[in-house]
Amino acid sequence: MSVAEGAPDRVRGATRHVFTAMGTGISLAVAGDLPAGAVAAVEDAFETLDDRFSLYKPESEATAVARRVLPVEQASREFQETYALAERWSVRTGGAFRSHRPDGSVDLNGVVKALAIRRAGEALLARGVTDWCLNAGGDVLTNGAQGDGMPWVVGIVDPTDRQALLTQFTCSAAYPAVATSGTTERGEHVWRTHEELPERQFVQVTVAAPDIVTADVLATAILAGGQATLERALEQWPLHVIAAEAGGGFLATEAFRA
Amino acid sequence: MSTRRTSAAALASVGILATGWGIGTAHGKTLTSTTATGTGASTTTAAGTTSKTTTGAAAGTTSGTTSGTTTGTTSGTTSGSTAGSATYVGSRQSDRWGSLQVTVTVTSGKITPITYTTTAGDGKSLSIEARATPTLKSEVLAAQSAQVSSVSGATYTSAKYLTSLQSALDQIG
Repeated sequence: MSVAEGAPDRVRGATRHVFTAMGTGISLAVAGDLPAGAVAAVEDAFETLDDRFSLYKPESEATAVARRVLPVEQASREFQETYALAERWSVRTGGAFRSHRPDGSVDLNGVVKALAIRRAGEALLARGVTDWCLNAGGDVLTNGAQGDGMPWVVGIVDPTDRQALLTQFTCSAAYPAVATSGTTERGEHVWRTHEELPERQFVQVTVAAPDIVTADVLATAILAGGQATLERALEQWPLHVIAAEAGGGFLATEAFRA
Repeated sequence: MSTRRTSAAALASVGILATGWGIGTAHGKTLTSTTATGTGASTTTAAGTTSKTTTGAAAGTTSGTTSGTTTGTTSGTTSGSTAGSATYVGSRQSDRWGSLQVTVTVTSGKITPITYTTTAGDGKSLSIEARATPTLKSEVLAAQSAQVSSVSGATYTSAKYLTSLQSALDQIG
């Protein structure tokens, strides 16, 4: 299916709000009306985290840490907690997910966007908004259902034809989050591991998971670590995964198979 | 006249390192964190004396595998580092994926996670989804345009992104 020709128009009875933050496009679809303040709260979730964690903002705390002007030990509690979260994921993925750049500087971009998505979702729920689909740069978190009661369905971009969809995933309460990492992305948090040469390398990895941080981190980690990381992840976490190989093949769990 | 000053590096080397895990769960039910502060007197060790410890997982459960079979960053156990190093042990934190405890050393202001212990969570509560199997494109579940309401793909640069897939979606609103 071509997105360009047949753009999805299936957000039945939904209100959409689109804005730009963290250098990417963010789209919020809500089934029904958006209460006053909800949009501002969602935008604030992204902007607040971006102010602290952006490496593109010279005055941000993350920039100070990356430049080693500010030691992590003296950073804010929020920064330390986020650093610890990223470190935990690094450990749990055997180093495939990384919280440092190759030069050793701290880079938390791999978790910050997902944390912003999570926080925005919390803001919506706190305001009684229960049926929504939030897409930040291709990472999607959903809650509830579309206006007609149908579940939110997320299309997955075809890595060989970015105007087309490869497949789709139907979100549920158990699997509300979908994230995709690809070799064409900005590359700020994808570094391949060299310690082990996986049997299969991927050009795009999509992970559906119980929460957006898990989905986003593991998509990144599997892209970096290849098949070995994919298999370890499937042993440890409840996931649905489709990974596209450079040669045109795929590794896919049942949910993505026809 | 020279003034004795404490350099940032020296401060860092004896600084308190917080190893608090942010524990989050889906749907924003809880977002708690615990900060374990190593006291200044906490185990100060010479570099290289630490060892990696992994705690095996529960046997028999589908999820009973030790996470992160290697730390991936073993460079912390360097030898020949003459600078003093301090070791801090984070509090054990649990979430749905199990529990984890990390030990961190700070040497001359550089932080290196060197050891961790982890145990798998209760496998019964997890529904592990089978395996990823080799699949041809023709065997992949096709997208049904009539159903899709959002698109997941690799992050593009803002301009590119906004002019491609997402913008196609957003025009619908």
